[in-house]
This record gives sequence, structure tokens and C-alpha cells, in this order.
Amino acid sequence: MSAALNLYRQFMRHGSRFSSYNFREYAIRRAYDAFRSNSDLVEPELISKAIKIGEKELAIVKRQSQISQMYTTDKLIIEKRH
Amino acid sequence: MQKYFKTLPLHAFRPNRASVAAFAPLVRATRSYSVNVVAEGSAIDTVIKNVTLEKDQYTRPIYLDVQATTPTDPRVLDRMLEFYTGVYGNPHSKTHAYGWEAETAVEEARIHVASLIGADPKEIIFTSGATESNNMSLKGVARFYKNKKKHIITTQTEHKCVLDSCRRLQDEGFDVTYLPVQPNGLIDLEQLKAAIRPDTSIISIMTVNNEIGVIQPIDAIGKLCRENKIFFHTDAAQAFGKIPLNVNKSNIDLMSISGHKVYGPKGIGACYVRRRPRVRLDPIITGGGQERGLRSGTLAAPLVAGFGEACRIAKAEMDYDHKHIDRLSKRLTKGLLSIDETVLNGDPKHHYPGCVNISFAFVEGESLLMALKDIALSSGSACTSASLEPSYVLRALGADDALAHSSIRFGIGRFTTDAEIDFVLETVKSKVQTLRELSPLWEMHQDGIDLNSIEWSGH
Repeated sequence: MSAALNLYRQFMRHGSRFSSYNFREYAIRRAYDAFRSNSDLVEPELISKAIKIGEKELAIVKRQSQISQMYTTDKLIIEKRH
Repeated sequence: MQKYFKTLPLHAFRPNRASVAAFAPLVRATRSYSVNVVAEGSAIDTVIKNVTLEKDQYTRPIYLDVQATTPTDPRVLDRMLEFYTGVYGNPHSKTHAYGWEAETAVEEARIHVASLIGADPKEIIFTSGATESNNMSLKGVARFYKNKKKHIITTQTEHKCVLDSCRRLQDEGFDVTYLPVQPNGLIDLEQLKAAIRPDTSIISIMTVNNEIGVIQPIDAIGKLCRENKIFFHTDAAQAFGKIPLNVNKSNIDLMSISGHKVYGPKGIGACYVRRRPRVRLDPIITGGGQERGLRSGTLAAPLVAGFGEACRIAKAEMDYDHKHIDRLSKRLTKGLLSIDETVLNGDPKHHYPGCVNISFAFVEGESLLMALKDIALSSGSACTSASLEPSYVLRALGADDALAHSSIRFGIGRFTTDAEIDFVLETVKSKVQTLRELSPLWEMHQDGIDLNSIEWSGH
């Protein structure tokens, strides 16, 4: 359980680092929904399988959010409101 | 004029911005000046500088034109980077490991593409995009069977590259029937049946229309084609990866697919070519005999791998994305149709929710696009967006010129957010109102004058 929670926190942390508004919002929404839909898993085997997939995806989020910060554009017109 | 536009930055493409861009050097000079003064410590200048920066920082319009192209998914880019850095082999090199590893990636991608449409991987031919696939299918089949069959059927609402391929074939002596569509954008099956001739070689009808988003009855068309032993080609660029497709269930013989419409890289696409019963083509590009000899040329391994990854994600997340897009689409449609005198173009039932095409009566589409400079939109396909002509697709639906002129297409995709839809609704509502207040036609309409009853003078 704590492994999943830790993973979730990392997704939120790194996902919110995307400099592109749309990718950032998606990364956060996708992680939230994925953890939510997997929250009723009980079998340890399925849980560890889901965590393994999550770790792979997290590595992508970490790399891509850094790349996103290297090639930035002007901010979107709606970001001003947040 | 054309050349002038090309030199401008993205945000200056709206004509009313052009005047601002012409003064760009001046603006830049002012900004650096204010920064210099700040160094001297004037509080007012600090304020000015902050205001300018604040204003300049938030200039990019939000993107609602996913029918033109989609942003590349970061997961796709992550897969591609490997092939632009370490793994650079030619997938057709059979003599060394560099070639083998690239080939493995290409074949893996082929499996992902095929599994999204229920095909065999061997039936997937990689091309540069859907335009090439459309050209290859239509010209290829027509030319291969030209001795026996001389007739082609397509519709008036097809993409330009299908229509243009057909025009070329007409020059070569083929007969082409351009089927009209009903006012809801769908074809009439009885009309299609009536158009079939003994020498019809191929029927080409798109799955999802790029401008109005209607889904054609491809199952029924496929069945009709199979019964009459005619090849069925469908341009699925807008449908692939977004709605469930199965080439066997729908009896599709050839299918055009594009990579950059499914969050994949630009410059790659595929053509599905059925093996059983076999479809034979006269290839357009010949050479080294790659891709079963149907499309020679070295495959771009990075693009193919990225495309494959995009397909894998599209398959795994089709339900998830569809739910999201459907929800946003309903909200957008409901909000926009709550404005007076607006019409949703295309059949509302057989409709892909990610493409919402709406006509705003008494507003000129291009001026609305200009007023909506903070939203990246289009009134039709990107290929024809340079002309001010009303869309030929909407004209084919029988919409009168005024309504065809005032239509705008809203594209919703995987990365569209709720906040963006709210922003669109708010902006469109206020801009439509402003433009209508300026319009004498709107005023007459408000007074209850039927505009069709008026005889205009001075034409």
C-alpha cells in the first residue's frame, strides 16, 4: 500500500513539472484515474504487476517532463487564470 | 501576400495581428529600453516591465484543431528518442546487429498497428501518411485492373487527396462517380447500389469525415462491395485509433491510416492492403522492393517505432480517451447550441464526438475566426484553410452559402481540458454577440424580416 502511495506521489510531483499545460494536466489526470481504477485490487500478484507498469510509466514521466522544460513555448492564454 | 505570411511568427497568423507583427522590431526595442532603465532603479519602470512581461508571457492560443494534427504524445517521443540516438541502423540491413535491432522495432510497430484494426501484420504497408496511402490505393488498384474495369465510385465529401487522385484517373480515361450525400452528411446506400456498374473496380468512402465528423455506414458499404466483388477502400485517417475498427468485420480491402492524427509522429502513416482475397496494386513508388514491393524506400525506423507506440497507447486507452472526449464534446455542443441561431452540422447520431462543426448564422466564419484569435481553430480542413471559399463539404450537404461560410470546426482530443472548453464557451458566446451587434442582417432578423424574401440590389 505504501509503495503504491509513494508511486502516486511521485507521479503527481513529476507530472506537474511538464512545462506544457496540456501534457501537465493530462499527466495528473491520467495518474489520478489510473490509481483510482486500480484501488480495488486485492491480489498481491496483480498489485505488484500494476506497480511494475507504474514504475515504467513514471520513468517516462520523469524523462519527458525534463525534456518539456528544455523546450518551452509561451504560456497558453488560459494559464493566466490559474 | 503569401510570402509575407510565411515570415511571421505563429501568433501573428491571424490577419488582425499582422499589423502588430509589422511593428515587432519597435516593440522589442521598447522592451529592452525599459529593462535598461530598471537597472537605474525607477519603481515605475519596474512596474512597466512586469506588466509587459506578464502580458507577453500568456500569448499562445489554446489548441482546438486536432483534426488537422495532434500533439505528439510524450510517451511516443520517449520511444522515438532511442532511435534518434543509439539505435540508428537501417531496418533493411540483414547483415549486422544495427539492422536487426531496427528491424525488430519496425516489426513490433507493425503488430501494434495491425492489432488496432484486427488485421494481420503482413497486411500493413508503411507509407508517409494518409495522403500517400489514398493515392497508392486508388491509383494502384485502378491502374492494375484497368484492362477489365474502368469505373470508380467515391463521394463528394471525401478529403481533397482522394478527390484529386480521382481527377487524375479521369484524365487517364477512368470514369468516376462522385456520390452526393444526404443533408446529414451520410451517403444513401440505395444511391450507392444504383451507381455500381459491372466494370466498377473500387469504391472509396471515408470512415469519419474530417470536417463534420460523421461516421459513414462502412459495415453496410463493405458488405455491398463484397457481394459485388468490388474493392472497398476507406480513408480512416480521422477514425483510426479513435473508434473501434475491424477490417474483417467491415469487409475493408484497403485502409488509409495517418500517424500524426493519433498522437504519433508526423510523416508516417500506413496502408492496410488485404491479402485474402488478395488486392493487387500497381505501386507508385518502385525501387528496392521494401514493403512487399508496394512501397519501396528505406523505412524511417524512429517514425515507425513512434507510430507503433502511438497505436499501442491508442488501443490500451481507447475507452478512457473516448469517455473523456465524449464528456467534453457534450458540454461544448450543449453550450454552443444554447446560443441563438446555431446549427450542428452533420448527423448527431452517427457522429464522432471529437469533431464538432457548428454554423453560427449571421456571423461570417472568417471574422469569427479572427475574433477568436486566442483559440486555434479552423473552418474546415487545414489543406483548404488558406482560401476564403466556403467549405465544399458543407456545400455538399446542401447548406446554403451563408451557413457554410459561418461554420467552425472544434476539435477535442486526448489533451483537451475542461478549462479549455469553458474558455471556448465563454469567448465564443461573447464574440458571436459582438459580431452580430455589428451586423445589419442580424438586426433585420431580429425585426422579423425573412432575409430570403429580400431582393438585393447592386450586384
